[in-house]
Amino acid sequence: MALLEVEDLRIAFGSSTVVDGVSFHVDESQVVSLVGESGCGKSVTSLAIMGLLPKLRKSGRGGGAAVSGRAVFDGVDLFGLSADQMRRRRGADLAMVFQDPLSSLNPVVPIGRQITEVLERHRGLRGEAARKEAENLLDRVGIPDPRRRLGEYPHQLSGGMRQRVLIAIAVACAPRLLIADEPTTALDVTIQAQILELLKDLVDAEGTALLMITHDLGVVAGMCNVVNVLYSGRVVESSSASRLFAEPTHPYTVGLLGSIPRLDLPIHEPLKPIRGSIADVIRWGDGCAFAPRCDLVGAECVAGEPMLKGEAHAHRCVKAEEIA
Amino acid sequence: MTIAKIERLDRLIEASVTARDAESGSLWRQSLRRMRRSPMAICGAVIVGLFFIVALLGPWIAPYGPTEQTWGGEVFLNQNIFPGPRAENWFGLDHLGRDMFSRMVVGARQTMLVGVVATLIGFAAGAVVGGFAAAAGTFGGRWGERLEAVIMRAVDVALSIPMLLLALSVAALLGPSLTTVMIAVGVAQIPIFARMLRGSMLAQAHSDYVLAAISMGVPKARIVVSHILPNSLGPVIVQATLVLATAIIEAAALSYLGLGNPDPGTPEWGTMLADAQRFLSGAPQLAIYPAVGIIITALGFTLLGEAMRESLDPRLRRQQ
Repeated sequence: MALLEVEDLRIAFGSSTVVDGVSFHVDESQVVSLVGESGCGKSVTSLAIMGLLPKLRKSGRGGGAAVSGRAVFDGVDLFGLSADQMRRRRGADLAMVFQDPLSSLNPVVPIGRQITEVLERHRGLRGEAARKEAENLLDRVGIPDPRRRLGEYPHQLSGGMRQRVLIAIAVACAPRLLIADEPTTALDVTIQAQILELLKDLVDAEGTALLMITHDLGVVAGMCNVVNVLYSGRVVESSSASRLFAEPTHPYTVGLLGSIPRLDLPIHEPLKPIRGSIADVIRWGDGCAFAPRCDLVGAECVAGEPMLKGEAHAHRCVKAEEIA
Repeated sequence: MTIAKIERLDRLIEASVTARDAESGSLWRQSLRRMRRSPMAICGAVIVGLFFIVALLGPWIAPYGPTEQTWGGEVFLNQNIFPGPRAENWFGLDHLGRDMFSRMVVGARQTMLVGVVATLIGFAAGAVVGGFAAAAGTFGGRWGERLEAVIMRAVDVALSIPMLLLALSVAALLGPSLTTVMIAVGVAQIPIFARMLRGSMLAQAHSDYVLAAISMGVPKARIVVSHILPNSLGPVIVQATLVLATAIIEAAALSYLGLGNPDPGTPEWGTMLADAQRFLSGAPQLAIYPAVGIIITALGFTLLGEAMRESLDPRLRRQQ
């Protein structure tokens, strides 16, 4: 059985629906990614799973999110839990690594205390025991001289080290699912590779499942088992990573792959960008939302809702045969 | 690599490690180190330090008793004639023939006491009210929000009453005494502190590290106390130093209106200022000494507070 099963997730802020029926699942010790450009709903999806979106009030004011659907984690629907039950799971069963390591750490609290805080909360460790464990964690994420680092403040660490600290906090209680929301976006390229390596090692060693939110297909190729490509709030293609890269079937995926610079292409060959930008021109109910930007667009593309077809390698395109 | 080269590398590494160690240490120790380098902080600290020394040691520094009178045919009340500064009386004599310098020095203690205690009362009560309102509004759900709205509207009402009037009403309720002045002035500062702390906490409540702490299942109370509060205190501390200055002025106003310490034996800068008003046209120096004293003290606290905020602010820390 899947560890996390997201079914028909819908998220709306006021009248605009940002996630429109997303389903995917994450198995034990599997690395699954949600890929898409800015605004496709990938970060909101992860925040919804963690229960971190602002709640909708009965009055309808205040800009809360209306979330429907199910997110079944280990047999329990996370959306059905009370705030208190959810709080007990966060950090212990599911944990999250955020995008910007500087603003995600409290600037006036030494990192040691930010780590022991979680250990106290979920593992009941106190005093010297918590300190020792925090030291171990820092050591595990590859921070040299951990004992001294515990007393330092976030501004004294480099960007890569801060992200390592965040990862240490996230894995402190051996969560079964780790959600990483663009964990390498704020870092430079050499550090990105180290952080990905670290995440991969931790996931392999503990058998943790990892849900990776990213817009970087290079990251996906490097570490993910399963890829879900999101466009305008829906999954447009879902398959194992190797098959997705070998034979992409949705024009959007093809476009994403085509816009990556490649070492084996001639030097002056221009990149092929996808035309336009993401916009709510067409609702999914009327046709394919990607149609306005698609090179292969035809009349059948906007004649009704395109369905997700296929089992192992699913796609949402009526012209899939033409691409293959 | 030759041995000499390796040794040089070792030395370099050692030097960089010691340099880094000098940069570490606790938050307060670091900010202290930064403050020692800031001219603003030094000026403020010197003024405040001198003020506290004078306030504490006043009776021993003063050459005469604060109530000792020298008539000697020098002071003519009706003709506005008072001896100005001279060797025996540095600041001259007042309308009752008392040594102004001694009265200034001895009076500093009352001024300090009123300022500090009133500010502490305002700070403590305001922090409780504002902190509670912010915590309820952020994490208390729907009822918490309502509670916050009620508290903050009450604070708004208190804030809309002129501060002196508020202090005056409290003082009138309690009767004239030194304690009254402290409480009255302190109570009048509560709404300011409450608003400041709440605003500052709300700004922090939406920061990424709070979201990160929530995502790790840290309990709400703990997030408020150990994450939001320490990050919100900076502006409130600066406000406290500014309020100290206002408190001194307000205490003077209350004394002038007859609600201060009724004992004429203990001089106070505010009362002295009020007394001097009668002779302003003929002998303005009587008003200038206490007024300048109040201004310099207020300036000292403001400089120190501003420097403190800058050195405590992690965002400004790297720029030096």
